[in-house]
Formats: sequence, C-alpha cells, structure tokens
Amino acid sequence: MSALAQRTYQHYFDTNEWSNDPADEFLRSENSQMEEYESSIDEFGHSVFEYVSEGDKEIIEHIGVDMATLSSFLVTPVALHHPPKNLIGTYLIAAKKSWQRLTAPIFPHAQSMEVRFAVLSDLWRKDTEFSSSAADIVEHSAYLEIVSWGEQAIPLILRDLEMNGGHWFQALQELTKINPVSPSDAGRVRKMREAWIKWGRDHMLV
Amino acid sequence: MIVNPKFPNLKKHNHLITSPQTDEYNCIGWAAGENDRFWWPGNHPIYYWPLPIPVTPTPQTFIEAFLTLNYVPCADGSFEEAYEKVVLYVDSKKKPTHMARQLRDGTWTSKLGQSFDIMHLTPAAISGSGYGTVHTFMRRPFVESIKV
Repeated sequence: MSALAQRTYQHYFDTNEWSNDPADEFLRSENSQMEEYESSIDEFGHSVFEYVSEGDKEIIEHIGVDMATLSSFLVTPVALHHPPKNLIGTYLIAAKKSWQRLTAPIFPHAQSMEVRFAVLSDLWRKDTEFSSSAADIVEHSAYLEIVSWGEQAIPLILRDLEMNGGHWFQALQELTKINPVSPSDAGRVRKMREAWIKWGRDHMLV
Repeated sequence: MIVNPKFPNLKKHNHLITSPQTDEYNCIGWAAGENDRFWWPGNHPIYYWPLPIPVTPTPQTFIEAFLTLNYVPCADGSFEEAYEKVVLYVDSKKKPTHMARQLRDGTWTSKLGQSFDIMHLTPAAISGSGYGTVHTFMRRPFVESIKV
C-alpha cells in the first residue's frame, strides 16, 4: 500500500470520512474488490472470512491486505496439504508485521516519539559511554524518561537494541514484567540481547 | 587516544586503546579476567555477581567479590613478579566506579565502561571526575589460569 493510501486510510480511521485525497479512488476501487473476494468460497463452501479470527478481521480492515492473495489460499493446490486457515494466518502475520513497519513513521505521534527516542538514546549513550556502573546506566535521566513512556517504548527499545545494542535490559524487564534471559546468562550481554530480540520477534514487536 | 574531560590525566604518552568498542563486558568483569560478562552488584538478576548482593553496594562489596577469586588487599600497585594485582576506584562519595588489572609488564589494563579497553601506565592515569580515585589494591599469587 502506498504512503498516500496509508495517509488516506488514517484520515478515514480518524474521521470516519473519506478525504478528498486522490487516493480515494484507489481505496473505493479496493473496497469493491474486497466485496468481490468476500464472495469467493473454497470446496467446502467457506469464504475467506470464515477462516479468520476477529483479530485477523481487524487486521484485514485496517491494513487493507491483498485480498487476491488471501482468496487464492482457498483454491491453491498448496491448500490440499495445508489447511487454508493456516495459510491465511501465516499471511496475515506477515502482513501485520509489514504494516507495522510501514505505518510507524507516518503517524505524527509515533514520529515524534521516534525522534525523541533517538535524541534521548543518543544522549544516554554519550553520557554513560565510560560508565561501568549498571546503576549509573539505568538511572540516567534520558533512560528513565524513555521508561516512563510505558508500553509504547517497548518496540522502540527493541528496535534500538537490535540495531545498536545497549543496556536496555532493565527497562525491558520493567516494562514487560518478564525476563526471557536464562538466569545462567545473567551479565552475558550478547545472549541477553539475543533472548530479548527473540522475545520481541515472537511478539511481533521487531 | 582518548580525550575526555572525565579523564584529565590520560595523555598521548600514557595509554593505548587495545580493543574495539563493546558493551558486552565491563571493567569489573575485565579485572576478573572475563571478556564476555558484565559484572555489577545490582539490578539482580540482570547482571552477574559472584555473591549475594547487598541493598547498597559499597567498596567492601567489591573487595569481597574479589576475595572469592583469591585476591587479598595489599599495600600498593607496585609490580611484583609473583603476584597479579587489581585496583578499585571510588568517587567522592565512596561509591565504587571502576576496576583495573595489572598486566605482566607492570602496566595496567582497563575496560572503560561500554567503550574500549586501554593499557595505561599507572593507576593514576585514569583517575579524575569519571572514576574518582584509587581506593584499594588487591593481589593474588600469579596463576596462568587467567583467561584474557
């Protein structure tokens, strides 16, 4: 989906009205296509929407997934070996991940948070570069401000951890209330990082 | 060469950067002979510490940890062939900040926080507003077992 279409969708979600944006035509067309796909059924007489959960329906509505692909899972030869439900589920997970990556920068609030995060994390790194004290690292004002954002900070932290490393472990533990790091790996920063990135991937946050 | 106001005594002639920058271990782990573990007596169970962690870590907390590695407090940081030595630094509030380890040629090695390892000629070379001053020297009979 183009950035223009995403913005138009966002306008629609915010106001419940289609904007005058040129992407309107694209969206109206896409909606009529969706109606067409909704009428597709598989050999058992099931439509696409009978194979998706309520949560997945929300994804379809909000993301505007490729309905042609989704419907093809009903009749593709692969479906003989894999239930359409599994194929659709896998596709929707990938679509959701892609949507999260695409849309994060265009929401003004998310964008300002990302910018603020970049400024704060940079300040934190510079100020604690030579500090060996874990207390100094996690009690830095920039670090504490990021933690104060609550759950919203988790994807930003995980993304930064994956790309730049850093001692985000206390923040993540505080925000998620869990610790995926094995006790025997306490202090082994590489393994701690790997455990958190895996946790983030499992929860589709990175 | 490191130029930073936290280390006013570091000069071109008294230190060398000896490793890439990494945050995978810290000065305490490095002083203990490890280059893959971050040691700190706090934030349990995130970081490693060899002993139960007191509510408020003090210099004694660090001394006790290195007692488990057979180090004992000693008078100074002079080079003694039969011993290897470490040194603990504290800030003006006596809060532990850093440790360094003596090398076999009498110079010292430090992991600077989440930054580089350096070789420095004397313990005083890294004193200043960053790490404060020397608090305690410790030594143990030299053994080949040290890993790094």
